[in-house]
Amino acid sequence: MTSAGARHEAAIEEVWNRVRGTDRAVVVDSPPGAGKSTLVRELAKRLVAVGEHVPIVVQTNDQADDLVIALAGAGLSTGRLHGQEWTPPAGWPRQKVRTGTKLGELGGCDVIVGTAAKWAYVKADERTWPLGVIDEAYQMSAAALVRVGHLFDRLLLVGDPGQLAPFTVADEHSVRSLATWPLDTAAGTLLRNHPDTPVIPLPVSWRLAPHTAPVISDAFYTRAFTAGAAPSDRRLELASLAHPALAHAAEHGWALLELPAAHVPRTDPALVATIADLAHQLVTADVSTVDPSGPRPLSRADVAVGVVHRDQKAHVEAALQRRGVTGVTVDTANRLQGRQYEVVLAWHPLSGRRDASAFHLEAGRLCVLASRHRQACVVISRAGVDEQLHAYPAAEPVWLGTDPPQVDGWEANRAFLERLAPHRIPAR
Amino acid sequence: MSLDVYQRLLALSQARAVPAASRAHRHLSPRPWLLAGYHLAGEPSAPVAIRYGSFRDSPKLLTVAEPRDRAQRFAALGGLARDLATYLSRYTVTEPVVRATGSGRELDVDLCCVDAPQLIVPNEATAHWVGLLGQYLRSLDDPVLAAAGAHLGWIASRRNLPGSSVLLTATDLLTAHWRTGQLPTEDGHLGRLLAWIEPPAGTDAWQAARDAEAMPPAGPASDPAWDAVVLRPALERAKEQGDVRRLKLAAAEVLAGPWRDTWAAIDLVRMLPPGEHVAKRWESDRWSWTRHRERVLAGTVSFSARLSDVPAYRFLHELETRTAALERQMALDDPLVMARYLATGEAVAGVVIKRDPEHTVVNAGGRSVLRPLLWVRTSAAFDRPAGTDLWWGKVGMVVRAATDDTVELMVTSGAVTRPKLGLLPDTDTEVVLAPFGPLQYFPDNLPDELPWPTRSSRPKPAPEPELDDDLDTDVVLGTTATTAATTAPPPADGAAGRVPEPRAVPDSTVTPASPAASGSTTAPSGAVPSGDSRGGW
Amino acid sequence: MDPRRIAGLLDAPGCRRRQALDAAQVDLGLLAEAIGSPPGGQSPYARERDGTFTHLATARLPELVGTHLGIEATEAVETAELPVGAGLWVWRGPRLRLGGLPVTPERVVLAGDDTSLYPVEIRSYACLDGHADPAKVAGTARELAVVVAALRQAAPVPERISSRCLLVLPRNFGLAPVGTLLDVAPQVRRLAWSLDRLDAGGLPARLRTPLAGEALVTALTEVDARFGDGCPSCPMYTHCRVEAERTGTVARAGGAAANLCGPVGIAAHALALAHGERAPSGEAEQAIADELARAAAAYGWAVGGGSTA
Ligand code: SF4
Repeated sequence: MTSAGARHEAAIEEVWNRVRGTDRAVVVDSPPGAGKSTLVRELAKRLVAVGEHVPIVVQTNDQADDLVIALAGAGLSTGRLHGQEWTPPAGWPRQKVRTGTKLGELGGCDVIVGTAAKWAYVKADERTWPLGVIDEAYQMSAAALVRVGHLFDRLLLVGDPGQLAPFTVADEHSVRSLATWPLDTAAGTLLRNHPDTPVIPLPVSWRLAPHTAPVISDAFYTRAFTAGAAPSDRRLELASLAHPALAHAAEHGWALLELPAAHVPRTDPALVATIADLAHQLVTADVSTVDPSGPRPLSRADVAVGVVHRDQKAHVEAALQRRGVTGVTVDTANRLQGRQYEVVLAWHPLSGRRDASAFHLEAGRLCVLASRHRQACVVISRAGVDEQLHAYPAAEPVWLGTDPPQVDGWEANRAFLERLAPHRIPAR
Repeated sequence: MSLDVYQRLLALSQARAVPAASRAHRHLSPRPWLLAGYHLAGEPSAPVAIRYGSFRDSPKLLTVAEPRDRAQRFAALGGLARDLATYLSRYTVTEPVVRATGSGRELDVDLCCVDAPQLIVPNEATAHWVGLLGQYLRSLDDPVLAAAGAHLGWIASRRNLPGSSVLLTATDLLTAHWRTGQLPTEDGHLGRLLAWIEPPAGTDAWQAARDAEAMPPAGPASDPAWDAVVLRPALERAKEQGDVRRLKLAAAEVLAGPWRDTWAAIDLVRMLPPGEHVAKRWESDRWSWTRHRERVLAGTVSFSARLSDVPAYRFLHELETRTAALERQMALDDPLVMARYLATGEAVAGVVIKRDPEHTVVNAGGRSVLRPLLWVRTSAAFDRPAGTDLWWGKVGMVVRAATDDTVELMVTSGAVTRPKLGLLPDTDTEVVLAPFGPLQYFPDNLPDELPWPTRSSRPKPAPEPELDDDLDTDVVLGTTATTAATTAPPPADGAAGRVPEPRAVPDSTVTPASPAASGSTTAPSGAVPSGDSRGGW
Repeated sequence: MDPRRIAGLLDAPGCRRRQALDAAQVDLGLLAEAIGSPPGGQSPYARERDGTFTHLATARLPELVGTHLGIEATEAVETAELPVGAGLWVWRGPRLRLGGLPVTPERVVLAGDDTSLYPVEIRSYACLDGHADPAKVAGTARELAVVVAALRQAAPVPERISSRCLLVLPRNFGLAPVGTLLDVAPQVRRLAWSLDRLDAGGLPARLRTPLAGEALVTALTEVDARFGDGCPSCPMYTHCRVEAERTGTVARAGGAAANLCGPVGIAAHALALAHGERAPSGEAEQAIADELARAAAAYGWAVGGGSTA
């Protein structure tokens, strides 16, 4: 076993021992592609094997469906607790899974999966559990945790701290001036209230390439991790005429393709065209992705374009269509959370803007875009992002008695850009 | 938002504000109580002058010759408290109203005040100050002042609730209905805003705004130059010679502008027809006032310093619900607000070019159900994905496909039975499909108590020692300015006229009169018992 | 220059004119006179309150640093240099430097615990129920960042200067001091970056000699400006805004407008694009034209009495 594998296994065993121990809560920090889903599935299996019933709280219906399919595939008797409007996705294992809108309909299931919003309607007098599992605990808000916390005597929270923070339509200023801050993440709230809670970081990203993991780790995470793959394990093989940015990224994991500096509208046509051309080349040229399981041709499903706004998505999709490219995923950062691709083309959130904004600077947004790939990530941007970072006024309100954020968006953006400087490729 | 930018550009190039709303989205009382104040720089509780009342031409003017002197301040604020009580006493008549209770399904008849008081101030700083003034008054032993403090506390508590019109600022009234071409932060200056909306004949908005800036400030934020040149001599004369005429004149001068401007803002918004949902939102304010009065009568009003625990989460839930509801109601009430969503592409305007009312689909249970189809021709491409929900009034539909100029929609609610097919828009009808459907009711499913994961496992640290905590600002100042730290007087230890600082009252258990208001919150300086408002929305 | 002025660099760090103003250490009094802007300053009453509170709070500092930093001290000792060891010091009129700029705070209070020195700052805005105006606290944090960075530049071991500061404010409506720890590390990082740029930016030759009056204004006006939301706190504000008004600059209406209009800097041009009265030059302008045209159409629909069904 590789040393990375050994460290990962050690972390998993530590999680298991903690779960079987006496800690009231255990938090597992899982960087991108560190095996979180496998961990949840594995722990559920082990818990069921020792006779436990396992309730699992996830954040979205898609996450619930994916997890249920995986658990049922692992042979666990699984129940899906869902809302009125839910319809099973394609390929739903009807035979193996029980579904219901009420807990009572899922009697006898060893594992029950539902969204936090759905669990919030389960009454503690119906049933409580000795241990609950919360998946994506950094996407979940404290307000959601408050509504389900009473169902479980102990909790295991698993999540990626580099995700987008929970969002509210409420005016932050009103909330902060009148109340203690209820908008933290579920994991953050738990750790603040129970500072002795053990936090076990999964130390290895199995997704990110050896060249790219350290950059993500340094810029966006307080607990360092490394890549599980060795430099010789992964390779992207391109035709010789590939775009220099693709060629560079194939070799180094990263490329920062820079168009000339300009203030441009959000749907920057030149950026759209550049991204569409790159995607087109990736799926039409003869590209193979190589990993220890052997080489295989890069398929359209292996490529994703990460954007910041919905209108950018619409424009990129239209441009791809014009080039006859279908099947390439184009989506915004929040919808790409938890997904993985071989190659990702990422629209830099600050590209072409005159002024940065808190939205565009959010560390989680850039982190999600830059950490979905297994082989390579090409960040496409207008030059001049460093100017914007420089010009961003340090005028955020400071609320007495609150700590500065662990990862500051501005700082993360700056660090990321600095690490990508050697991979800068000016657009032709 | 692109419409916002477009309007700002229009305003900028015309040097005149442009309308951002065609309906009034705030309730305006026929008899509001206005208040404008000026206070001593840096002193949160030392008003120099307050002008207030319901009558434009005969405001009351209150001045305090030595704002840092407790007795003087006390006397002046006593007058204000009594006048406020008189104003509020007009709002005690109740009427029976049917309202939803419990889960929102049952109906009940309850008594609600037919109208509620409304306080309008020039700007945000004054609104904030109203809260502070209330907090300060509640800390005093005097029952009249404390009662006024409780009322001001309730009034201030409504300020942060989207959609409430109990405490309005003139700047918010104007920015909610007009767009200027200046920096958004400059819109916080009432005089500048008015200059943009109604520049005096012969000047453009830029010049008018600069002129407005040169006037004394709208308080309570102070103007250093005015303090030094006008206020100081007036205060000194009042103190030394007991002659308050100069102070009164100075106070009248500094507050005349904001007083006039606040009324002008009200006049401008009154010219707009009220939005349809405004009365509904005001009813929520009336319920809150009714409950507040009941608590006052029962002696159970209490204010907690800051919300924490479950009430903090309940407050967040209420803010979120109200924010979404207000956004929806304003858009449905006012084409100019709906236009914002058209501009961003969240809403679609177009003409129905084809219908298939007979279209059916097979539902999950295997039955065939009616799901009419509509095709709408649009002027701009609709770029939201298939599956997006849109509404035409009560008819809900989902986008099936969109091309550059046509959207295909399947009706999913509101007109999916034969008797209701008549509710579908006809061919050639112009429609606006909005991202807002009928209001959904989400019951507040918060527990009564925080569960363990969100409750601290550590005992709360002992509060800091509060030695000398009641040191007040009532220092006896010499007649000459004492400016440097080294020459400042020592703490007025044991000086007469100290005022104890208000201590946060612990959350008490207010029992709301209405069964609808289960899960009670105390009203802190800014939140509201959640049961108050929900029924009204 | 006092820390407040240097902290002002963080209000509008993207404007070269503002940088030039500070890099050249232009006298703000002379500048205000030259551009005819109203004198700033502090109200005499605010100054009195400041003085009174500073006096009261200074007397209570030993107790406060004990509670919040665990440092034992009986009184604040006067010092004329960067102190070492454990204790509590007042350093009046230190002459510090930050990059190439002089930093001259009136006084710096420091508490030390042998390993670190913590700046202590006394301010007279109220802390109500443990809560102070977040905009004011942010301002103080930026100024403290200047002090921390300047002290680090002066210290033989820069890491000894902690970015955790003790902020002392009057509690509620009274004058009883209350202390809160404030970590200004994020502001220090920002400042460092801004100063790098300031040094690298270079100063226009004309501003290297002291100027006044019309000459000063002309020299400054020759430097590129970047009007935006941070301008109202800038000493040049009243001058620059008139310039922006005269030229009809989009940014006069704020950062959101400037961001949307991108390369189209003049409001009239942007509107002409929106109304189809100007041919977009290039794809970027076309995209702006599309977006603004959609807004114009929506606006037209609404003011034309659009109905929402
Ligand atoms: S006011 Fe002028 S000099 Fe100051 S930041 Fe704005 S544009 Fe730059």
